[in-house]
Amino acid sequence: MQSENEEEKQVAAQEVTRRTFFTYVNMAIGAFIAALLGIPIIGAAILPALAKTKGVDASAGSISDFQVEQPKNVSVTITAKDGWITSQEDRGIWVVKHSESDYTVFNGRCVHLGCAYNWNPDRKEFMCPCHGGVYTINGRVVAGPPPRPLDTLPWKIQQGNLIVNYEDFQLGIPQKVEI
Amino acid sequence: MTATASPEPRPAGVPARVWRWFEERSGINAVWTVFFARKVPIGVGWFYTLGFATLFVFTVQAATGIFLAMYYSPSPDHAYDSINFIMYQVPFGAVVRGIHHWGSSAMVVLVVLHMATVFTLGAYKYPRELTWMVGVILLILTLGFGFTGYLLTWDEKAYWATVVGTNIPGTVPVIGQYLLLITRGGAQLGALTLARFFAVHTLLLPASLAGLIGVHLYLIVYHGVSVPPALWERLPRQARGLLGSSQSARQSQALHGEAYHERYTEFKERGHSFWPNIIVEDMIMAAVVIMAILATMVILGVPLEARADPTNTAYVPRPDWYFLFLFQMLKLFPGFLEWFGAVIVPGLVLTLILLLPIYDKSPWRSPGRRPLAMAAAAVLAVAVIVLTYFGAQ
Repeated sequence: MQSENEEEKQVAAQEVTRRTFFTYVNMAIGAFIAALLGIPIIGAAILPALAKTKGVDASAGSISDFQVEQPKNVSVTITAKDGWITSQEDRGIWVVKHSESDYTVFNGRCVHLGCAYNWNPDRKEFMCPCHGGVYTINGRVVAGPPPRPLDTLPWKIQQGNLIVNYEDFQLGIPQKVEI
Repeated sequence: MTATASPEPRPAGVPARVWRWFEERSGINAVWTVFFARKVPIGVGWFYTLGFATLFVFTVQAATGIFLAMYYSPSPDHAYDSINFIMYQVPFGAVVRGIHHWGSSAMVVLVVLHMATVFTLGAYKYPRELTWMVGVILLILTLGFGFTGYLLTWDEKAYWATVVGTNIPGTVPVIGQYLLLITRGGAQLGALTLARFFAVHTLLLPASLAGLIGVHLYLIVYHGVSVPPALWERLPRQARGLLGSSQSARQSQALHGEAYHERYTEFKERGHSFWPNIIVEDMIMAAVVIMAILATMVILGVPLEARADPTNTAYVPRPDWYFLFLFQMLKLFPGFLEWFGAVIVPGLVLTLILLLPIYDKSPWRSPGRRPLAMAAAAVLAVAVIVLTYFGAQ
């Protein structure tokens, strides 16, 4: 009687080990399949959304169009890539000419919340009509809520034209961070 | 006995308490017991993994399809560009599309193999007739996925194979023209067709298929998987006692109701638990299937032809391989009888397959004892293979 019980116990113990083993095998194969499928699928879903947008070159016109220390609002046409759709879009920038070979180019959106700002020639300041942001001609914040100076854009001169590398940055934060 | 004080029960941890809260309100343990802790009768082997593998590929198709849809535009002016975007701009995009593309072939292969196995083992007989019939509808929906899926890439093959495919219902006398217009959403194959196919492929068919898979699985769990005929037809000792030695083996095959269930229970009780024992083979099969899909993708690539050009007169349209038999069969019928070959014959064959358990009254399950059924199936299989072979030439 006693030995039979022992045997039963042993069989039961073996069954438990067997079940545990199978459970681990199932989990291992499940993890393997999940990785094979999960990595490409999650990667495809997430990575493109996190990709940094790159600046695109656009002509702001002939350098002779600008007068020294007189900021000028220019509309540049950029070739925007929106997924599989390529389109021509207009963006506003401000160009400040310091000399024939020295310029400062600002992204035309106020760094507070993205409104289009204007140059006030009397006060010689950039003023944002939305929430009262005020900047100097160099983009420094004088008053209002903007958390950082105006965003400058890289530029170069090609065959007498001012070429601007247009790019947008995250708004409302103290750092100039690419989107 | 009374002297030994039991130690204070340790207070249950937070996970245990959360689980108990959830269990009491959901009854999840009962669901687990019914679906996973159930016993599977003795004798099941690798042939029994094909159904699970089919279900697995369906979930793969659903998962990859959802993420493809994030980058897809169902409009003729953007569809092809969006596929290119998936292929060349989205990281892993070509892999996800490759799995989905070859997964559709795997799905057709597995559905057909699963069906062939169930047929050969006579598993569609009492009490599993309804399971079979739901399965045949699942086959039809799977082919519907294939047909609506390959238009979506909007390449030459997509466009022209769909032009031909949608013209097929158009050959039916009297109502043909209406069928054509309804399939295309208008007279021309264009924006309305693409949007319609996209809606059917990503909304209507998945919802229908998921619902019917639920019914199929319910029926499988309700009846339990069939005992292989070799074992079923060899009377177990207990059953022999149950039936009495005077009864013939043939009578035992026609068991219904109580007697059937008593016999089935004998087999079931001697079997193993689905989780974690039996499912191991299913899991291995699933891993093999996904590796086979990935291997096919690596070897054969992820096809995408040139953008669809409705003015191209040089293109010879050919459907995907699993429709080649139909494509070839159309050549066998003269023009005025085309609808007969394209609609009536396949429709008749499908109806015969669907109603198989109703008119197949043979009590036997093993293929050796069903020569007529096996011969008919062999003729059908050979016909489809030969037509496919010539269709591919």
